[in-house]
Amino acid sequence: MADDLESLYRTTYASVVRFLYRKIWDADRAQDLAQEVFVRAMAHRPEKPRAWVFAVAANLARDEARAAVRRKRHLSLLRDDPAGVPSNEPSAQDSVEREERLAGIEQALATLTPRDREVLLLWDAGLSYPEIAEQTGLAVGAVGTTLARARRRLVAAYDLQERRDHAAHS
Amino acid sequence: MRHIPEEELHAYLDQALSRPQCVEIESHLAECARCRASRDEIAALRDRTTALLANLGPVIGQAPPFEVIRLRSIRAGAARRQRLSTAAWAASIAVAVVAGWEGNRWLAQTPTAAESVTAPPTQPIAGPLVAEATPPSTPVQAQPAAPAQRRRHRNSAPAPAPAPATAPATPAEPATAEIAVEPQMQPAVTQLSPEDERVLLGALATLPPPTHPGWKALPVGQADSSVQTRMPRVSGLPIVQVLVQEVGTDEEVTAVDQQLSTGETIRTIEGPAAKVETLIAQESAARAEAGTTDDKKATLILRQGDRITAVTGPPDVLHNLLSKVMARQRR
Repeated sequence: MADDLESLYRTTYASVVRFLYRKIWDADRAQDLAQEVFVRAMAHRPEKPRAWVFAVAANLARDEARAAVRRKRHLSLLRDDPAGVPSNEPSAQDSVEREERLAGIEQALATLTPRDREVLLLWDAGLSYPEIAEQTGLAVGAVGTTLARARRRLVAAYDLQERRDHAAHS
Repeated sequence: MRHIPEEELHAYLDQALSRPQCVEIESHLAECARCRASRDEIAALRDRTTALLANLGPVIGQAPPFEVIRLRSIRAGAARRQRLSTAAWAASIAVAVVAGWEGNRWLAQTPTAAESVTAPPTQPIAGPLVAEATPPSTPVQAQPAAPAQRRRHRNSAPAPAPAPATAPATPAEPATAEIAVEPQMQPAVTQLSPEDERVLLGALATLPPPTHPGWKALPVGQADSSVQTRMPRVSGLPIVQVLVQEVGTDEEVTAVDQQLSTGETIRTIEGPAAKVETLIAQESAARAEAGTTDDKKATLILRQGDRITAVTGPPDVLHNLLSKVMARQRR
């Protein structure tokens, strides 16, 4: 059992971090919470650990959003990442463009309804239709419908922004 | 002829359909150009979504070793047991010991005024390992500043009973800690699985002698929830120990040790400027005196008004940290 969790940790840690990050937009906090998720899994020994891990992650992200409102002063420093040494930093121009693109995607994601967004993020984190259905309370048959809508809207919202930006720049 | 609905094509491409359903769809696709076109369009849409989302992820190197999770889990379990049972005081000793992890030398030579008054003179030389049985919901700042009352010594008889005059100083909270001392009780550590114990012993092997009078170790899980807004730390790193001095006063100092993915420790101290500066000076003096080649540590000092937050750790890590803070400030 412990070994199951350990291998689950190895295979899904990065997905859990990404899943959390897309909800709270704080990379460091996302990693801290992802670890917390697995710490809790150690105590609970859930039957379906993969689905459980994402369910708990979703809950923690919700709590985090509430806490973030309360938190007035939080010294939030970025963690070290050994790969991010200054020598291979992209040029300023590149990074500005990248930032703009990221902001665009983030905004596009924000235009989705909470449910559509949740289903899309869960799918992208690697959950199956039945797992997504269980977590969101949707019927399995409705997952495809929801995903279809979420994908269409995400891409449409992003493209719309792109066109606006181009128009603004030219 | 029924065309395939959009959502079914999504499910088909997402491999969420049963084998018979797939066969049905595939045979229809074979003879329907319109549905083939839809399928290609949806496949492209699907790929674009995935590509867009792929941008939205922090670049994380490697997951921290699973041992980090195990240790955190042991500590969380110990804190839970401690809350459940007042007899589980030994668990928090285990917590304090595990939390020691790496050099406590820095904190070794700074008994504070409050401590030297309240700490009994019979203190063992090894210094106390502190067991706390504070209710988890109590914010640390709200604790009455009488640490010796709740202090228990591993190597000595229980501390003298607190003076009755100070006992009612705990306002709303029950005096949980005072019942906690039953030296003949089985330490809760024995409840650990053999695997957990192995980890625990592994951590113990790396410990320097526990000597930090004047400081009080907070169980990490508890500190996490109770001093969250004030606890200085580099977010995103697992916390290995939390030490506090003069809790609840203006002179409060908090030190948080966190583990980097390399296994090294980074320490963040927050407190009144003068006190933190003294601590840092003492540390470098101790380092010079010991003549150690331990020059692989640098300190980053952030001053906010009359308080200082100092981060000590490997220079390259601090450099990285600083450049990111600057980048964030510019935005």
